[in-house]
Amino acid sequence: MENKKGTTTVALVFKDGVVLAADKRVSLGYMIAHKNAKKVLKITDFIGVTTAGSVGDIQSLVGLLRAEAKLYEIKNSKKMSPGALAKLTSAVLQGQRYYPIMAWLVLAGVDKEGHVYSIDPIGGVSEDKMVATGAGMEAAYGVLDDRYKEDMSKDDAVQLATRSLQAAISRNMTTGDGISLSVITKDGYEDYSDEEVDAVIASIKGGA
Amino acid sequence: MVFGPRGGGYDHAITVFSPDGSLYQVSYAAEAVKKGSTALGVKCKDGIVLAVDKSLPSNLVESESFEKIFQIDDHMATASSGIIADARVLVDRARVQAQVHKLTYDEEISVMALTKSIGDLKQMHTQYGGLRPFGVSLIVAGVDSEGAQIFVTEPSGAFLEWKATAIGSGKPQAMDLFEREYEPTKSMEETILLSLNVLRKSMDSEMTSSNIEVVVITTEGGQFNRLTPEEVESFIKQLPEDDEEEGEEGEEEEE
Repeated sequence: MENKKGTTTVALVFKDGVVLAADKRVSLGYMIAHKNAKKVLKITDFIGVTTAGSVGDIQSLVGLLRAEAKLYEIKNSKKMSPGALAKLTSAVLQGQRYYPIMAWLVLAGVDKEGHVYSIDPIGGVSEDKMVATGAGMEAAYGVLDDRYKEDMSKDDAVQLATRSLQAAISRNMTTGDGISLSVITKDGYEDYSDEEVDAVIASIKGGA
Repeated sequence: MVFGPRGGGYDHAITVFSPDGSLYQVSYAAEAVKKGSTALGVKCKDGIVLAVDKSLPSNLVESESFEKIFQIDDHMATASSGIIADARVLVDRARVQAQVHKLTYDEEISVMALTKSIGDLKQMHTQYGGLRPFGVSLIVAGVDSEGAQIFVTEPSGAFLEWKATAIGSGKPQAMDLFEREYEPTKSMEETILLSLNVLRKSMDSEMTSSNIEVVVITTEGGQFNRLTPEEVESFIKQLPEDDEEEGEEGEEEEE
């Protein structure tokens, strides 16, 4: 059970795309089971997910989504939109209504503009400009609600995602061990390296 | 072999190749399409025009009960030629496929994806025992994010995309006329007139609003729209004099 009672993830829409962020801690009760988990995962060049829930369920679901997206793109001769993939994910989860896949995803991506969808374990989909999930979501939402604006720049959006995770890390004991950041724009998918994440954190300390 | 069966006996099972590489039953199915009534599909500046000859078997038939252009979804239609009963089975499948796509992906199916699924079913009916090929060609036409598109699927399952096309018994003359007169920049009204003019040349009887069927799908809005008999009538009235009649009149003048 990775993150059923742990983890914080956030995703938000900015002017040119979306930012996805998550912590790296895997907890098992009061124990930290893993300190470098990857919870922001790429599905296509223009869609990513942040994950919370059971590791095995997440891995098989994400594998299925990658395969479905690739098949869709070949069959339909076009890129899959985040909305189409959110609907498909919802159908997969709803199809297992009585034997649920224990995964709470935030699906974020870009078609003509950025989109963020929160998808609950039985397929409920809600689109929003910014979403937080996991045990530290209350702390993250506190920061997001206070500081989120529409049409933010990429730098501001990445800083805000980082700030909201820092709040979750400092107040939730199952959230921690560093931050993963990914940005999707019309130019494609970009994972931030550890050094780049450190630079974002430093810029917040300097600028705040 | 002089007294042997046609096709050397290789036309008995659909799934068996002849030594020269033909699948005779598939070729015979294509013959059913060649004998079928004429159907046209034409792309234009603002959308798509579909027109078919639906000459009625008797004047006692209720004209509007007789359909050869079927709506698949809001943005898509198909015109058929060949065995219409076979077409209806494909149309039913296509309609379901369009809704399955909408339920799965929350968006309308693309014209090409739908054409592929029809092609897949047709192909299956050339390779599995106990089945027979579909004796029908479909013009699959619609508007999606790529704009207006027209495909033709054959009984073999093969398909091609066209700017303007015809299937059925009038295909040779119609394609000949399209090749000379088709212009992609024409308006919807001009394209309807071109289509009716082409269709008229392949019809045995005089064209009326009850023996043809016309459907348009506009790029803007992408909505299926079957013209009423009154609308069809008004287009027929605008058609130029038939060339053949003009020829005859010319001869008379020379006398």
